[in-house]
Amino acid sequence: MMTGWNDFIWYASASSLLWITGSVLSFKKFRTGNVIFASGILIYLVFIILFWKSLGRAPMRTMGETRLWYSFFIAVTSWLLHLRWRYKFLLPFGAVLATVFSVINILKPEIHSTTLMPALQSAWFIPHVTVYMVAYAVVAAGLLVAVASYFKGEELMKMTDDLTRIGTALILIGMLMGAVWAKQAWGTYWAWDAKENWAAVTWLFYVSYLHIRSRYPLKRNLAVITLAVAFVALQITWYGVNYMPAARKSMHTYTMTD
Amino acid sequence: MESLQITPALWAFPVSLILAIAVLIGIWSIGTYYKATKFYRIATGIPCAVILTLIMILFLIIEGTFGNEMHKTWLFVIPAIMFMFSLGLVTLRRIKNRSGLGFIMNHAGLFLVVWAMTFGSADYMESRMIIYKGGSENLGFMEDGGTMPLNFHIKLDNFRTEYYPDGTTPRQFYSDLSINDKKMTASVNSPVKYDGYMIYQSGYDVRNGSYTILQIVRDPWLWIVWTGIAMLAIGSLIMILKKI
Repeated sequence: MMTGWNDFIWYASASSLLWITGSVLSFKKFRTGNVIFASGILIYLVFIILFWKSLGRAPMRTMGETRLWYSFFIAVTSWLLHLRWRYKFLLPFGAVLATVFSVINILKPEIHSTTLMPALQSAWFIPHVTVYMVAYAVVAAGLLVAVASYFKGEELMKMTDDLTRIGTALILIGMLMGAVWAKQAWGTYWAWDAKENWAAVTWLFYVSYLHIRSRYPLKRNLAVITLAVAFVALQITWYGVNYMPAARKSMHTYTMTD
Repeated sequence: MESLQITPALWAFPVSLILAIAVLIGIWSIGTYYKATKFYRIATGIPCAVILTLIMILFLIIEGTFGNEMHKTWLFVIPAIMFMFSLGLVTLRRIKNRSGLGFIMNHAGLFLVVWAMTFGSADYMESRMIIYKGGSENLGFMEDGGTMPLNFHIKLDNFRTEYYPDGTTPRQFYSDLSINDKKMTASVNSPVKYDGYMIYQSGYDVRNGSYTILQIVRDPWLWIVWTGIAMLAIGSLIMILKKI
């Protein structure tokens, strides 16, 4: 049996429902809420696995496919961090964000071809994309906590710092894997390609945030603005870059060469 | 913009190596004998680090948006060298104090990458070579129109294309090569190595596959970049493990 984008709406609705129910319930009953939330993750994972098998390749090539992982890792990350740190709003945050990205996928179905071009056939492909997706989810959580700190108290910034440190390190690891892969595929580890440059911009903004926090711990507004700007840069790196003049020469826009 | 263009060939080996060592000696002497100066205090401060980072960001945004080669102009290279000095001085101070393995790995790793990229760019050589089936070649053509002769010949024994089950979408391209009777196969994502050169599968005759296009790369500073990348990876892992 083949599982494709047509089936996605059923799995996504079930998962979203379980995520939202679980996160609301977790305020009253920690354990039950967490179990229900986890079952939502499990259903989503089942879709990814069946979809992967039907495609015959990793679903990590198109925008829609990477958003699939984004939803998945946001849910997983918020669930794990909630177990670890017990911040109540983490689960609803994860539920809403993961649902939003699923809805985008349902409303804007993109055309998917079932084959992978030779340049993408590398052992680095899956870890490179996966690490980036986890990183994106973690820094997104960091920004949300920073915004929440204006309502719930400045001590929440400690958590934003932790999340952003982890996310920044993950962004760097993703970029390093990209460099090693680029050397294998294109002959150079850094080609000054549009996507590469924006990836460096994103990482450097997060690095700036960490430095600003360590030097000026009391200037919260400055730090949060930097974090918001970094998040915008991240969106540009992820998909915005495809619409820029520089993208015409980019080696990262695989859909254009099909 | 034309007049701001840099010509990396100007500092090709051995100048590249001499300049690179001079930078290390410069950083070491400032960090050892001029620690009491105002310059040192400012250069190793976080405000300086953040401002230089923002300047780097600005140029990367311009190049990432418009695709003009900012990194090949002095506008980019001068702040990049200042960035390198600031980073080098901070790293040296931490190494001397022996404090924070994660900090040292991240900063020293980034320094090595930037340092080797800056001076190694002059010694990086890349060319493309067309070889017909059964023929052999030792001359590569560079992007600027120059040629890059090798002191060995590459013979193309066969060029093969592997297809997906649909029979029309290519899955992989292979060039079976022999160099001085040594047989090897280059394919996309898996280059071969010979005598300090990396040989990549780059293109092919799209009409009937009668020739292959290889990319020939010489990158003698690469091992320093790999060392820097390995240090950054370790530094990042330390950062994550400390927070979980």
